[in-house]
Amino acid sequence: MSKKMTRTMIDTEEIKGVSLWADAFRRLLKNKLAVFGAIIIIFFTLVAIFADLIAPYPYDYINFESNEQFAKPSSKYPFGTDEQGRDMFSRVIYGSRISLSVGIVTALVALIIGVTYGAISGFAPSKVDELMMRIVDILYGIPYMFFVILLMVAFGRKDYMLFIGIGAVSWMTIARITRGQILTLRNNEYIEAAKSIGVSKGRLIFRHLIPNAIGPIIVYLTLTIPSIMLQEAFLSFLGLGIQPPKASWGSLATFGGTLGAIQNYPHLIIFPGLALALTLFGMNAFGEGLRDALDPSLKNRI
Amino acid sequence: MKKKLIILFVVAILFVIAGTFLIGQSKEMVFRMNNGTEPQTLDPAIMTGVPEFRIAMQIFEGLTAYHPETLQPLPGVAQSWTVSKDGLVYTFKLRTNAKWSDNTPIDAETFKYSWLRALAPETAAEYAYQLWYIKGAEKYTNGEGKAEDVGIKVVDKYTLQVTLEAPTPFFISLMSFQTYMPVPKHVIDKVGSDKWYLKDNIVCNGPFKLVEWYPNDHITLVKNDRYWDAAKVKLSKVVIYANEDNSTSLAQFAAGELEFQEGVPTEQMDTWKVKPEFHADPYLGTYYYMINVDPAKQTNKALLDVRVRKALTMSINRKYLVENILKAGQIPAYSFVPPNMPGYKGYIGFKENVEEAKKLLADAGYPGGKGLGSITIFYNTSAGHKKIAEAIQQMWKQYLGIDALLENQEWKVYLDRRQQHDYQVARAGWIGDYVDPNTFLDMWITDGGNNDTGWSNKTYDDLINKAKYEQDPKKRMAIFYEAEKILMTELPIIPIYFYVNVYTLQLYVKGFYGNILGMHPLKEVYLLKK
Amino acid sequence: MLKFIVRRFFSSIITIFVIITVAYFLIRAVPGDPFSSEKNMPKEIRENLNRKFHLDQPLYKQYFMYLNNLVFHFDFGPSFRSRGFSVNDLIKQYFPVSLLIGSLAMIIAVILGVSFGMISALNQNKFGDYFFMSYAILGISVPMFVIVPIFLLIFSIGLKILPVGGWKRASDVGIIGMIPYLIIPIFSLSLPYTAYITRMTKAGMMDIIRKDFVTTARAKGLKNSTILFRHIMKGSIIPVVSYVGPAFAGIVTGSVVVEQILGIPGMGRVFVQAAFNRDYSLVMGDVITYSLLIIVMNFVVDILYGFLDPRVKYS
Repeated sequence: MSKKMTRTMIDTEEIKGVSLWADAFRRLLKNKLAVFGAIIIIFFTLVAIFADLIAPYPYDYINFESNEQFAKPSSKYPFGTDEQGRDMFSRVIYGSRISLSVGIVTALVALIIGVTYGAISGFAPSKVDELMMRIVDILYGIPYMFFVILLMVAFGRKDYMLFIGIGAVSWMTIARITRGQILTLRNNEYIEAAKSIGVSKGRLIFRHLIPNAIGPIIVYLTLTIPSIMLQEAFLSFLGLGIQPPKASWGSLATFGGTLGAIQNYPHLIIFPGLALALTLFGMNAFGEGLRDALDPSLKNRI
Repeated sequence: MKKKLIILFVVAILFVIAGTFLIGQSKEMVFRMNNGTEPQTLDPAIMTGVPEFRIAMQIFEGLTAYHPETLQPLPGVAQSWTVSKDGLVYTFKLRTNAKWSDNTPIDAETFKYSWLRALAPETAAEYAYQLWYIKGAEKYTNGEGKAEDVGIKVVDKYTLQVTLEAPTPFFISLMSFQTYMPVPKHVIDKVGSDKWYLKDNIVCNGPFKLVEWYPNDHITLVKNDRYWDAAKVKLSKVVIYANEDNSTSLAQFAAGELEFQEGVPTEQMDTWKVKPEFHADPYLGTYYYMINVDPAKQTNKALLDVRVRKALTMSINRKYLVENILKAGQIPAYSFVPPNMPGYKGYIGFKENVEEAKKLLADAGYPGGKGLGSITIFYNTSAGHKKIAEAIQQMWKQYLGIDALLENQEWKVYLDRRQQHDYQVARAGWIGDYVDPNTFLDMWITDGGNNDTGWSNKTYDDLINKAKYEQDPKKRMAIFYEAEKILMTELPIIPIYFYVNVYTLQLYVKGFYGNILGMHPLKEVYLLKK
Repeated sequence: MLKFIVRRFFSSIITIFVIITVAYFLIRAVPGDPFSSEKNMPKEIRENLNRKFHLDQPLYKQYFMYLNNLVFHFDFGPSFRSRGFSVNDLIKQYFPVSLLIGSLAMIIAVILGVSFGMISALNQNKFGDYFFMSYAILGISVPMFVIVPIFLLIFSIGLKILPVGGWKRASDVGIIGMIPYLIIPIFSLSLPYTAYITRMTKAGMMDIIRKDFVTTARAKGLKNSTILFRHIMKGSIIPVVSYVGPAFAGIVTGSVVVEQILGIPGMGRVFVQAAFNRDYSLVMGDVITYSLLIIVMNFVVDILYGFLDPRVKYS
């Protein structure tokens, strides 16, 4: 990073700290794909929050009197019914809760582990730092699949294990990013300057280091949520997903995604698949937009 | 760049067309089937599963062979046999023209060697206990007895005499079973006990012999010209795939790429049920839920009360499950022994009745399910078990007001926890090893190896033991009936339905029959294909 | 350079050793055992089996036995499930299948991804850009287990121009005969990778287009195509290379979903099976294969960096 750049950053930081974010926000609004993504995310978040109000039936309700298995979409069942005759509309609505919470909570788990680990590594003496990074390297060398399957199997199939299991294999990149950020910033002139005028270490971390590192981390986070949701869907495919009768979009799509289901009852894949793909699309589009908006190397040039 | 890409695509498409032509060109009579999974072994002494046995019965032949339709024992390597009056001594006359595919002859010694090998502790055969009907066999496996004391005697080159521990009426039908098949001593001595059945070493004595084995892909068998009855074998080649995805397998069948495949996913059942290629044969197996009645391990004490168990049993709408969820013609189960057991009629100890179930629950002190706490249904991860569990959960919830939960675990963990009685209610299934009620009932004796419920009943144990020594078939069946009555009154298990064996078979396949063990010898199968 | 290679070699050995150890004890800590089945076996038989597979020994002894066989004989041991087969045999069977599909998929992904990314970057905010960027985001938003059945539905069941999954060997049908069986796995597998590479190429190019030296080159009056190939392509390929390296290790060790749905006998499907079956030795074999590949690929990437980016110094 050139000297000139650093100075600009200090200027922004010191003189108009708020405007960095306002600036980014303004740029984000210009990105149509990102705005579209944000709308999708907000929509599905609202659906998830108000699932109880929107869904006409409980997600697990089976009507033993009427035999309406695999019913096609109709005014009674807008998304049709599944193999038990349950209302797919309700199941997709409730599915948003599970899919989104798996994505968000797991990403937060990964974030907490990753940021803590990366920060410790970044501040630690170089020997410790090296060791900690070697451990991350080693973890990268173990197939991700192996890890998740073993974690899911070993610690029982409680639903919270999904968060921990996927989170436990998704934190490494965040740790690397955090450490990288902290290392660059730590050696930065303004930190040196702050140190020399006697700013306390805690203040240093919270006032300067974290606010600066947070941009890339948030970007990574928004891009991690969709990849985690996809991983949850993959675990559902292996039968290691959420415990029935609860269903995530991933587990609904797994059932609807078999060849026979696609052929005979396309509504089983279309609706959960669309919800999942739309949300992932939205998050990816938003995340990328956010990155472009926050990326300081782009900032002064557009 | 663009031009090159276009050329590349054109070439690729041409290749595809050429490739499609190349396939489907062959005049041999080839039978292609999907066996569903990769066989764990092809050593008949070691194998335990159905997929393995399906292959073994094409390439090996025991003293007897299954009749493809009735499963009655047909002469195999043995031409004839006699049984002593007390039912303890069996004498087999072997044919003189039976040999391995490398021309090595098969005689009585071959069988003695093979059976002793299956029993030997160092072979570590899981199914060694299938031979424990033979005198001294169990002790030998357990390291307490010697090979010489096992009741297998070579009278002369082609006469084999077997002495049993107790008269075992179904012993002859076991002769077609995998564990009793011969293995080639001359090959085992040369390449070792663990490698003899691999592609490069194997010799066979059945209608077919193995020529290709690509793990997790396919196995190819061709007609064995040295088989004693080779004249009757019509197929020239059998290809056995190990594809686990039922949807794809069924699509391959529909595209004419397979002659036989097993299973039809629910979402395709309505489409396939009406087709002439669809088969659903009665199967010797019961799908049931077991209840942990081990007082030390059961975490919901209410389940130790027989009235609660009965209420749960009575409030499952089996007809609904069979007709709307399973759809393949499964039979609702009100007893444990399947109804297609020849000479035996199962004891029906309960009827479905929600009102009575509610009353029973109230009598037990849990009116409307109050105070009973939650009941977790434990099952191994599978779409099929999930459907049943979800429906039963709703039935208990809606009919009895019980807070039922579901928990699924991956197969090995599920087995582990089941064996340690670490569950409340668990899904289970049992497939008969042979056609006799004993295979369904002797498992429930106190501390029986497969009794994972912790259930124990002295009278029941005595009855099962008594049946072992009963010579008169009618009296024997009466004893089993008494035993099942106890089982169905105490209800450590909840029968749900009797399995059917669902498969699809091309119409041009002839000489192929359904039967209650789902076993299909391909010896006399042929194709009427233009 | 040589010093760098030697250092990397030794640190890789340590890494592999740690991975083996961690994986070994991890898989053994998981509940369930390789020999359990619906029908329980008598205790004595179980003991015979344990003896045969050395499971009766203390775990650390088994571990040292395993290490010994691995290091001195390069022997992964016998499979617990596929009796009679050694893990070496099995990997020899499964790995080439995944390697073939994976490398072809990766080649296609790189060709398409780089082209799409370039088109996107050079036509910024035009139709081409929006089209390929939407495609790139969509490619990572649809689960593989939906993509594969849709391909099957269109090409195998609808148009009937491709077989419904399955696998054929060159020894049986010839190389040409294999092609119909390769198309669906390769194209479905390459989809998400194409998407990633498209995004990366675009981002890399955008970065460089804005760099001073490109502006200088333009100002100097260099031809657009010269700038494109000499400067921009070379620079923007760096992130792609660093992605493709490790991703290659992942893709050639097999995709569970593709292989399972299509019934292809590759590493991915077998790995999951092995984990579920507690086939300890096969799981270990798979883990080690993957780890070795990752390490080798990272190494290759680092070397390549040196050629692509003169600023990188090996130290």
